[in-house]
Amino acid sequence: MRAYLLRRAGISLLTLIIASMVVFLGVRAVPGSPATALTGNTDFSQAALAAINRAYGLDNPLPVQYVDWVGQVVAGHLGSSPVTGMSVVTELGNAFPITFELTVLAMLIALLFGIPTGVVAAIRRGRGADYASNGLALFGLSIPSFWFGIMLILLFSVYLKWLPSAGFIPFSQSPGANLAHLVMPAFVLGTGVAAVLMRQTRSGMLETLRTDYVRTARAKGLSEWVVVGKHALRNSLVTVATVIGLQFGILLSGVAVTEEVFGLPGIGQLTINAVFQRDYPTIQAVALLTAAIVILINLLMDFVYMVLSPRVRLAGEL
Amino acid sequence: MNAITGIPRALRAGAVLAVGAVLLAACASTATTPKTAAPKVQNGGTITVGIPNAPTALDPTTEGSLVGRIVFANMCLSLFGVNSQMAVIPVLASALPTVTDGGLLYTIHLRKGVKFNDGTPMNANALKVSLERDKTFPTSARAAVLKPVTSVSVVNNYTVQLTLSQPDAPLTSILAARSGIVMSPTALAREGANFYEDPVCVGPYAFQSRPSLDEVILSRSHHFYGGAPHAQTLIFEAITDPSTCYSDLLSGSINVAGPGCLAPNDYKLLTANSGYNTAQLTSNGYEGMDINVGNGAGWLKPNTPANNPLAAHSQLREALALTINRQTINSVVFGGSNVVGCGPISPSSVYYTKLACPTPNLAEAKTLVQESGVPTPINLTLMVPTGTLNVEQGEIIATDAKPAGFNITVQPTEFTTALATGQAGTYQMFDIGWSGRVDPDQNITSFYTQGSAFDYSGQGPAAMMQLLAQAKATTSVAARKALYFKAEKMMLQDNSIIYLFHLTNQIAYPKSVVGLSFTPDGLLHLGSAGLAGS
Amino acid sequence: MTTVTIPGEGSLPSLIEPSGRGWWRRFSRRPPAVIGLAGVVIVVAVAVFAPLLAHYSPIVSQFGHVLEGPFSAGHILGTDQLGRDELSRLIYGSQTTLEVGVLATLLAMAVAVPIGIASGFYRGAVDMLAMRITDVVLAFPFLLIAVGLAAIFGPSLQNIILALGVAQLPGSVRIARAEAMALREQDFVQAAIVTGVKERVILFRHLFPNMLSPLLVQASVSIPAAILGSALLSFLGLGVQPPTPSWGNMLASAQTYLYNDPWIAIFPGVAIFLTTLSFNLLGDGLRDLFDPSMR
Repeated sequence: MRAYLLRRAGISLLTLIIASMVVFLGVRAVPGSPATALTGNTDFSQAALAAINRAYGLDNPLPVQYVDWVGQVVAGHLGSSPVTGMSVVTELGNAFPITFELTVLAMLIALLFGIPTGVVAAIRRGRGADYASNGLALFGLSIPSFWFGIMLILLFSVYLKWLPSAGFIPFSQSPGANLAHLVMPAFVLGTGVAAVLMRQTRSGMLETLRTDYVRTARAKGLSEWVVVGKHALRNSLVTVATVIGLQFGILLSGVAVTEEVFGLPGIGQLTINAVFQRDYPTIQAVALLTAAIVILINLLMDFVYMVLSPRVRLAGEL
Repeated sequence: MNAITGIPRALRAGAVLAVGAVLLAACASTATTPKTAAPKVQNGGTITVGIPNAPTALDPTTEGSLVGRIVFANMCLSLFGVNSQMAVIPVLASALPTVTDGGLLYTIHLRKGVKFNDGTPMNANALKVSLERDKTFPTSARAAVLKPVTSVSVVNNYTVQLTLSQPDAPLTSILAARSGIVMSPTALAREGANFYEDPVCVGPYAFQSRPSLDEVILSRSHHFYGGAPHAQTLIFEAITDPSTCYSDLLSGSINVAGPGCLAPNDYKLLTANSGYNTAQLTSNGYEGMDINVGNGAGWLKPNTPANNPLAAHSQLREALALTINRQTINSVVFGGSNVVGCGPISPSSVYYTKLACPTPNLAEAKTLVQESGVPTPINLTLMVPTGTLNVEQGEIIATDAKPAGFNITVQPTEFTTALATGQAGTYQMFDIGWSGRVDPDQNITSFYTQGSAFDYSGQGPAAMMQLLAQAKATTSVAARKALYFKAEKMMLQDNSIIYLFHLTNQIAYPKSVVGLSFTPDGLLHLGSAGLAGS
Repeated sequence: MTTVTIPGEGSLPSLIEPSGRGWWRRFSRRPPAVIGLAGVVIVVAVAVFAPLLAHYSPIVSQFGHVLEGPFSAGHILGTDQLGRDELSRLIYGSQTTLEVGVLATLLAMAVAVPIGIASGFYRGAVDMLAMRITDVVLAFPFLLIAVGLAAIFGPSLQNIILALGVAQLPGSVRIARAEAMALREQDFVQAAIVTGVKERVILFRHLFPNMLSPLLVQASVSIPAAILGSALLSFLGLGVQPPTPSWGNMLASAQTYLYNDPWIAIFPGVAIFLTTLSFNLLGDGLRDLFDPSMR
């Protein structure tokens, strides 16, 4: 098992390196440079623009720039943004906790709504509760997230005035305000994931409930709760673990628009602005960070999957 | 290039008509309109202002965004400022500069008894340090406009002299902008290149923190020579989506919707809402259509004719200009919020002379097209930055030009890509604007000078460039006014930039916010502002 | 947001084709599935017969009739901010919206299925490479890819389809791979290998046809995901560009007029919702149809 894990970790690292190269080349393929973005507002002379390019190492050959950047990353610096002039680490340090908290809350909401409804749908298969849960799941999968967000704002912030529509208060400053600002966006984000989780749990449970293993447990006279709780649920969690891994990356994609609608200065917003302004260091840093997180989570989920699912452990698949 | 809102929202910036009411100026010396009995103002409280995008690093030497100026207007005052008539007035200086020696020597007297927000005194040495930093800092955004200044010398503790290499009329208004911000030498010595992390200058508010790119928090300064403001905290919040700005204003998440935050349609709704005050001022900015005439090889190469039927035939440009119905575009797309115009000088400017704009004339346009001898339909591409309003504007222009024989394809392009394309000269028509500066020279010359990153259309006609050079060399307002008027008439003949509108700035705030001041240069002054109540 | 649903890891691969009598009976046993099918058929019909159904041009502006509400003279759903008939725009919008959704999915599958099959069949180095590529794609928020592509090549229809197709890749690759892996172990495939049947034949004749059902299910989930993705892109100004109507860009430009005339935001939103719902219901129905345990 240890060998497997080491191998997986090694592969993850390789993936990360490839991802970093893709980002690095990708941003430079887009027309316009950070200097271009700056010329939108200020009348720089050619000499001044050249000075900026020099100051940020943008006139070096590509391989040199790449090596410089990798060196910086390993040393813990991520450079400064040519557009905002601020240190990228500072920018990320400000934005990341917001996105992280939002994503975690969204995941919690998804788990809270998705798994129980999935279980209920599986147990009460074919009956009202099943259809109702399915209906909710479909709702979550079919609604455009930004539209949903705007509708929620209209209802809860403008008409009812129960919740704030924008901004962010750190948890350390005021837990209540922090959650008030995050509940709607987390809900919007979590809905889609909840829907997927619900279906996964349902189909996983249905699978398990059909097996001989469970039939035997029932025949033995174990209470329904024990059957469902201990045996069926455990196996469903395997599927759930894989889905979480997959959904995390997708969540990080949907985060950007939700952050824009709710005025949360998180990574999503940072990325979008950075791309529009050709802020190479910021884009690279964010993409690398996101990739690292997704890869890490998938690695973790692989591990969980292995621990929970004896079949895989024995097969030792790649 | 548009500097109204920075990138994603580009030219969706609200542009509104009507010269609205202006309120008390922060610490200006012009007559103000007396208000009715002032309501009681809270001592303390927080005012949150919504701005359309985040400022860059808050270092006056490097800062390059439009919204940055609004933040600085409250925490980093300049030597000079602008009043409600767009005239330059002294702020940190005690009077306008004395210009001698044929425009080559500027003597600036500083206001006495002024302290920086760290308590240290503002004096001539501080100004010298600031200006020299602006000129020499590697990534300075001020160096280009301060180029004519060759040396800064301290005459006495409150007097500074600037020596110029050539006369430069815009300099005073440049010193009314970010270049004139005086920074605390003590703070500079301590922070150096990291000044943006804790900028210290003179202002009613002092920088407190910037917890994220989108949020700037200022707290009132007790060192301010004009007296500490009522409100304790001033927060600037970047809100990129205009609908969000509107709902935030309604829900109370922000107290003031700053310039560019709201969409013109939502602004219109607020003007009818009795709970809110609204103000709209015509800015120095314009919206226009650049035609690639001489930028065929890109901005780094000399003037080259472009691959563009409009480049070779000036009648075609004239014909195109005659098909454009500015009124329709303004009312349908912008809800009437722009001011129709055909030149770069704004009606708010002291250099403005009323310019008669051509009325749309399809018959004449058709005649001109025929005269040019170019076979119709003439296929053209119009590059517009992405954004609903821009694209709608492009569509209307294309529709109106069709009967005259122009077949225009609208190409929505991501903003920075559009800038790069414009600079590279690989376009035919480019719908782009400029947020405007106080001095007309800064709104005109670079846009017609080959080699400037702003010049998308190529070198302007020689006679016109001469007029512009003359206008830059004299400080006489009357003389410059006449010269610019002549130049504008030439622009109407040349049509390499077809000016469509003068842009406006709109703000809105609930009646509970009082004492706010808004000047035509698009700046919000909150030094006397506060929340009503006790 | 893009979502991908993988059939439960524990489920058996669907080898059983819906052929054989009674499949319609089984399918129609679940009303939601039939509703979904009906919805999809309606949307496709609207898209195909758009020129016949719409009374007005979707792109010609009428400045005298701006932002009229529903039930106004001649415009049953009202007009938009440039005076264009809302209903006609919705009808023509179905064409663009479906086009983007379907083409993005087809593109994704065209690339993903061969990769997945090869990956699942050959295992070893091929599999590892394919999985790494998938991981890298997964690691990037698709938004980044889409924005990048739009910036480089311009926000054209092709580029949107490309970006959305890339986003759908990982899901389809995994399904094709899982199916290929499972099918490989089946007796009939093993027999073919042992008797020396050419690999290409095995892949095309034995594997691919047997995974059509899960791929069909995946498509019915992928299409709505692509539709939602394109609406997201439109919100950022990078989707299908006006004047060509797509429900996504109609929704996005309606944001500015939300408080003046919410109807132009409600109708496209409802259209997107009902369409994606129909596809999802259909997908559910298909999944149940191909699920052997439902017999």
